[in-house]
Amino acid sequence: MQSNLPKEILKLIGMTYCTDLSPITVQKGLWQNFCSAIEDGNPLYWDITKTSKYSESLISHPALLPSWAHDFQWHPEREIIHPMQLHFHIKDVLNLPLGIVTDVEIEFYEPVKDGDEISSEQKLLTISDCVDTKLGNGRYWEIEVNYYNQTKQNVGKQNIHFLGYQK
Amino acid sequence: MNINDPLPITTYLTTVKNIQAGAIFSRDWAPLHSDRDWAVKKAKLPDIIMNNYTLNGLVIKYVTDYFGASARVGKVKFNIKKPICPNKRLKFHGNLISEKIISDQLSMIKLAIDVKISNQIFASSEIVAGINLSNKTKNSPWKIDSETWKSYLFE
Repeated sequence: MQSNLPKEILKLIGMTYCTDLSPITVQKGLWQNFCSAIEDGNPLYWDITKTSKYSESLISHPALLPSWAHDFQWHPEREIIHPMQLHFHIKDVLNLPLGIVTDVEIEFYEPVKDGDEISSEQKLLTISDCVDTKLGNGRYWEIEVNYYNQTKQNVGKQNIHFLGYQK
Repeated sequence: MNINDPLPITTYLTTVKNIQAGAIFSRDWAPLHSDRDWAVKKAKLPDIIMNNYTLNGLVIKYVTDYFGASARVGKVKFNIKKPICPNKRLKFHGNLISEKIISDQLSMIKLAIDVKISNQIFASSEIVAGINLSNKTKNSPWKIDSETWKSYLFE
């Protein structure tokens, strides 16, 4: 039951949990690696001479929008910034060590371009009662993340539905 | 294209390498996308699984491969019904479910796309995209400013 939720979780509902500043700068080489993995040859991501017909600049693959809030695996000078801290905080507090994404809704407003700095804000929208699933016992929750570029323009929004569970 | 018309079916073969690459190049370091031992022993999954960025990328690619580079995806909603593992041939099945003509140059369309393996749906999605109705590249949906674009998404 929601009433069985720790106060620490209840007080998060509807509140901005944290704002993450971009750990990395958007770079075409990074998005082109991804396009290569999925074999996407859309010239918008690759070739400025062909792109100019459609757009004033190359753009990042839209699917990567949330990934611009993800840090490198290791960095020589600073501690790594972990994405989706809110999700991992909920898992920790509820003692649900495993988690998967079940549904995603993502909206793209402003194209993300080479040199952009993307920041994000996370908010817990809902959390379910306890559920028994094939994977284990746990809860579902929904987190909304808004993404902004360096001029504070809202470039997109993602709503992610998770199942956190234990075996 | 008419409402309910199907798009051509396309395929994509998953491999250990492209599932790992999709996760790594989206800087998704969760071990269930790259470490088979962890995925099987700790998460009790059949193998490593495709991450949602890769699936989202493939669904968007399906749309832009068909409608061309000027097609601008504005919204994607997807539901992962079963984990997608290596060595599976994904089949993308799309249908046009609605169309709103904004001008003689732009139409906002909604597509339903199912990702199937052996005729079972592993993921389903809905996409809203703007497509250029004219052959003039100056009318590319990518040239629409973001506030106007947003207003089309919420209509």
